Amino acid sequence: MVVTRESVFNKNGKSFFKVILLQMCEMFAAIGMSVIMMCEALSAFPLLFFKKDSRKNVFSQMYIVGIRTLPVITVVGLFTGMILGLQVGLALTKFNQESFLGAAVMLSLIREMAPFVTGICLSACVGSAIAAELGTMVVNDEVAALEIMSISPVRYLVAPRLGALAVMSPFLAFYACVLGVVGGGLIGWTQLAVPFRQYMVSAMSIALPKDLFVGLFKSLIFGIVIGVVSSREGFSTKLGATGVGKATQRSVIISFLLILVLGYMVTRAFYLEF
Amino acid sequence: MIRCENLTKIFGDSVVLDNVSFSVSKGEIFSIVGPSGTGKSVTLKHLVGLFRPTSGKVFLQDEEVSSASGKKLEKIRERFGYLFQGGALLGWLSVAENVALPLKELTRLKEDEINRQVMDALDAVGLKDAADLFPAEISGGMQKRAGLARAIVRKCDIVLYDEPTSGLDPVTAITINNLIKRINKERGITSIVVTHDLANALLFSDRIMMIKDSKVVINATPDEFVASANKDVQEFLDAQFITEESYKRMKVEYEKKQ
Repeated sequence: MVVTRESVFNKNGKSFFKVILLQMCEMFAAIGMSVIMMCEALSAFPLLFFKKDSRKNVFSQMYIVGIRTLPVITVVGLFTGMILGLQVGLALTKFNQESFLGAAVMLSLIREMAPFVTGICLSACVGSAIAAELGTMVVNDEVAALEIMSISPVRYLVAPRLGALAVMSPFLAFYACVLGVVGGGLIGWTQLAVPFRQYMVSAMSIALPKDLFVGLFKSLIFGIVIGVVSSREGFSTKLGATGVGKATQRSVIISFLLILVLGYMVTRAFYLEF
Repeated sequence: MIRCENLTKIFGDSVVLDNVSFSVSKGEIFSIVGPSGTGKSVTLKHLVGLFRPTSGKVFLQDEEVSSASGKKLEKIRERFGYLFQGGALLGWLSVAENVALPLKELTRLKEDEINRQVMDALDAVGLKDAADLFPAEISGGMQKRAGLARAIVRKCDIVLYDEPTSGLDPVTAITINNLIKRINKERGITSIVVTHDLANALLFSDRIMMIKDSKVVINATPDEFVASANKDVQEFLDAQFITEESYKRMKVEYEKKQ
C-alpha cells in the first residue's frame, strides 16, 4: 500500500455539490484505506519477529502502550470502580440489596466499563501520540523517504504500533477491571458497610468465563481500531503543524465514536438472544 | 530515461507548473535551477509520484509514473534514491542507523558488511564522527549530508537531490557536489539536482534547466546556458555574479582539480 500518494479527489474550483460528492468519495476511500492498512499490518505481524530491530521496535511500542499508560489506567480503573460502587451501592441500599454490590460492579466492569475506559485512555494517550508522530513524519518527508527506499511505512511504522496495541489493550483492560472491582469493594466496605469478603464472593460468583472473554475481545478490537484510525489520520496529514493538530484531534474523535459503536455491536452480538 | 510531457500542477488558485516538458538521459546530471517558489521541488516530487499532475504525464522509460499506484508505483520508486531538503532522517535512530536502514530492511547482508558500507557512505559525506549522534543533535547541514549518505548507500538507478547544498558551508558544498559527480561517474547513476547554487551546477551538470514563473525558461548545456541571451537567464547569472569569462575561468580551475 502506497501512503504518500496525493489524493485523486481534487476539490479545487468544483461546485458545492461536486465538493460534497467528492468528500463522500474521500470518506469511503479513507475507510477502504484503513481496511487495507489493517490487513497489511496484520499480515506483517509474523515478519516483525524475524529481525532483531523489528523485535526491538515492537517491544519498545509495547512499553509505550503498556507501561507508560499504567498510571493513567490505574487512576481511571480504580475511580471508575469507586464511582460505580458508590452509585450502585446507594441504589441497592434503598432496597436492602447491598449484598449484590459486588456482582453489579463486577458485571458492569468486566463486560463494559473496563474495556471502554481502557479504550478511551489508550485513544487519548497512545492514539493521539501515534497520529501526531506519524503526521509529523509525513510533514517532514520521513514517510515519503521510507517509501522511496522501498520500505513499507505500514509494515515498518504501523505494524509494531498496531501489534503493541492489540496485545497490551486486553491486559490493560483486565488490569483496569481488577482495580475497579477492588475500588468498588473499598467504597462498599468504607462507605456502605458491605464487608469486603462478602463483596468479593458476590463479585466472583456472578462473573462467567464468557464475560471475561467478551470483555477481552472487545478491548482487543478497541486496540486495533485505535491503532488503525490514528495511523490513517497521521498518514493523511496535510499543511504542516496545523495539519498535525487536526489529524490528532480527528484520530481521538473517530476512535471515541468507534469505541462506542463497536462496543454496542459486540455486546449485542454476544448477549442479545434472538 | 525520464520524460515529463506538458506537466501542469495547480494548487488552489496558483499554477505552480505550467506545461513543463523535459527529458533526462541515462547517466546524465541534470540540474533544475530557478528562483524560490517556482516549482522546482514540486517537479522533483512528480518524478517519484508524490504528487499527481493536474495535467501532463511523467514517464520512467516506458512506464507512466503519473498514473501509477500501488505495487506498480512501489516498483517504480525502488529505482530512485531521494535526498529531501531537510534530510528526512528518522528521529529515533542514530545517524548510522538511519544510513543502515535500507540495507537492514531490504538486504540480507551481514551486520559487519552493513557497518562497513554505512561507514564508507558516512566517510564519503564527512560524517564518520557523527555516526552515533541522533538527528536532533546535529546541524541542518549535517542532517542533509546524512540524508545523502542514506540515499547513496543503496544501489539505485536515479538519485534525486532536492537542494543538496543549501545551508552548507562552501567547502562542504563543494564536497557534496564532487560526491554527486563521483557517484554519477562511478555507478552510472542518473542524477537530477534541484539547486540555487548555479556556479556549482554549471560545473558539474551535463544539462541545466531553468524554471521561472512556473515555465521552463531554458534547457541547455552549461556552455549554452551561460551564452544565452535570454533576459531571465542573464538576470539569474548576474545575481550570482557569473559572466562568460568567470565561468570559463571556473571551468578551467574545476577541470584541473578533477
